[in-house]
Amino acid sequence: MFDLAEGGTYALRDVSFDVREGEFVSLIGPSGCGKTTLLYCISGLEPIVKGGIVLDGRPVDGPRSGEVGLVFQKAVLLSWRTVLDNVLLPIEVFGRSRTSYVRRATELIDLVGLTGFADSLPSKLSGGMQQRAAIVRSLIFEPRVLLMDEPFGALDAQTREHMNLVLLRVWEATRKTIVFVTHDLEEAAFLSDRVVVLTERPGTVREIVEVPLPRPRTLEMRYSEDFVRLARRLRRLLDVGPAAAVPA
Amino acid sequence: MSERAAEMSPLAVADDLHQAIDAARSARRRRRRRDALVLNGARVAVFVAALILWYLASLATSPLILPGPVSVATQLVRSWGLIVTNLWVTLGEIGLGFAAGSAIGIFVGTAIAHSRRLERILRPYIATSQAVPKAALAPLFVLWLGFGLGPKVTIAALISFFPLLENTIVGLRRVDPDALKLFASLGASSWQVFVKLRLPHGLPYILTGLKVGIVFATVGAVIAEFVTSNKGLGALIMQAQGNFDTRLMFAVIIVLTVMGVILYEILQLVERWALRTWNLGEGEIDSRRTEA
Repeated sequence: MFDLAEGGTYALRDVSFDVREGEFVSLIGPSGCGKTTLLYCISGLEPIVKGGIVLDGRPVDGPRSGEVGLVFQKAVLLSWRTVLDNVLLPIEVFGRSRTSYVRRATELIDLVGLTGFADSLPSKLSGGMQQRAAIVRSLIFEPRVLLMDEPFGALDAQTREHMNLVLLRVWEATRKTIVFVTHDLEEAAFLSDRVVVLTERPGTVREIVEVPLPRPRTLEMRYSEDFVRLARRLRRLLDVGPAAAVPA
Repeated sequence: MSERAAEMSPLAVADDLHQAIDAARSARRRRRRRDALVLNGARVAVFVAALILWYLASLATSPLILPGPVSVATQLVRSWGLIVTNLWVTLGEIGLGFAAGSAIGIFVGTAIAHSRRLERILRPYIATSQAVPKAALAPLFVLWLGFGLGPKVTIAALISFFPLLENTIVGLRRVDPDALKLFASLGASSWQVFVKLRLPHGLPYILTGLKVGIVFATVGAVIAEFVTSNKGLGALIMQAQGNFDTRLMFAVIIVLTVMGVILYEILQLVERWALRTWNLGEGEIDSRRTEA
């Protein structure tokens, strides 16, 4: 679905991979390798110096409203709007009728486990709950792709694990194509079909790793041999390079 | 603790717990009521002490320099009609000046908030014009606009213009960059960004600006009256000074002070109502208040 050929020279270079419809792909790499930049390139918010990204058969040359759902590290909810009104924001921006989306919004709110909080203000919600509302907002308009930029990076370990399960539930229910940026390789391994490992800046693709774990994923799998082997492999891939040459 | 709880029946535990919570709550309530009582008592004490101090000082000086509180109060009652007539004049000037100044301030602030280039061009001039002592312009405005309502409204407007300009720019600008990215990714128009993001975010800032603006407008109107006028509370102070009527000066100053407080409180109520109605005033403004 994407084809990133010969990117610019600064943040990223020679990045090329594709994502299939309905696939869950994670991007991992050392901090500052340009994984977030890559995400914004796909969304059309970040211009590309050289090369191109093809989304759904058409090259990306700017933000395409209604095709890309973005989830940030922060929930970025509007504090003066209730959860439901935040979730319906994209619909308002597109000038579509709110009422025809209220049912879908309610279903999605239930799906992420926010039942009963539709009329709450974000300030009444915990960090994890806010992020769930943000996920619903990104899904409400049926985007072609969901781009997630370390969405659980600011949460504590326990909440993060729970949010991973919520996200998997959402993905199984909606079968959205997801590109997920994280610095947590175990999170990447647990969630994804494939993990794209980027090198240090300027980021290039070091390797694309298939995740051998069956679906649906369960927390138990995190202790399986396959998972541990995979995590070790990803760790090694991340550690190669100039930084690893320095003895610890 | 859990072992002991297991021995008791769950109902008994719950009862105990409820009682303990209730007791803690009523104790807190009692403490809070007592604290409020102490606070108010202290405030009254400060007021009474100031009055006594004033009274004692007035005994030691001539009533021409410092009239005592009682004679000022008597004067206030005796000249009430005169004061009220002039009060309306001053209030009118404040109202007109404040309305014009804040409307123009919000309008220009909105324009500047939308254009980086405009802001960069105008920034040094805005900063400089803030340094100009606006009151010093009063004689000039009299020269240009005569002795009527004109110069007073203009000065009041000019002074209240700046806090609104500044707060509008800051409020509309200081939005979360990620929220801007979100709107951009949705393909939102700049009008949508304004109405759905910048305006609700900026409104609390603008409301704060209005509170500052009304105080400034009051100062502006009175100062303009000092310079030019034969009407209004500022003019009344000048006349009283000319007649060596110090008691009347004090009475007018008290009325001006009370008027200022009332105007401020009215805007405070408007602010509270607006913030509650639109669910504003959480997070963003609170953090700004603690910064300030």
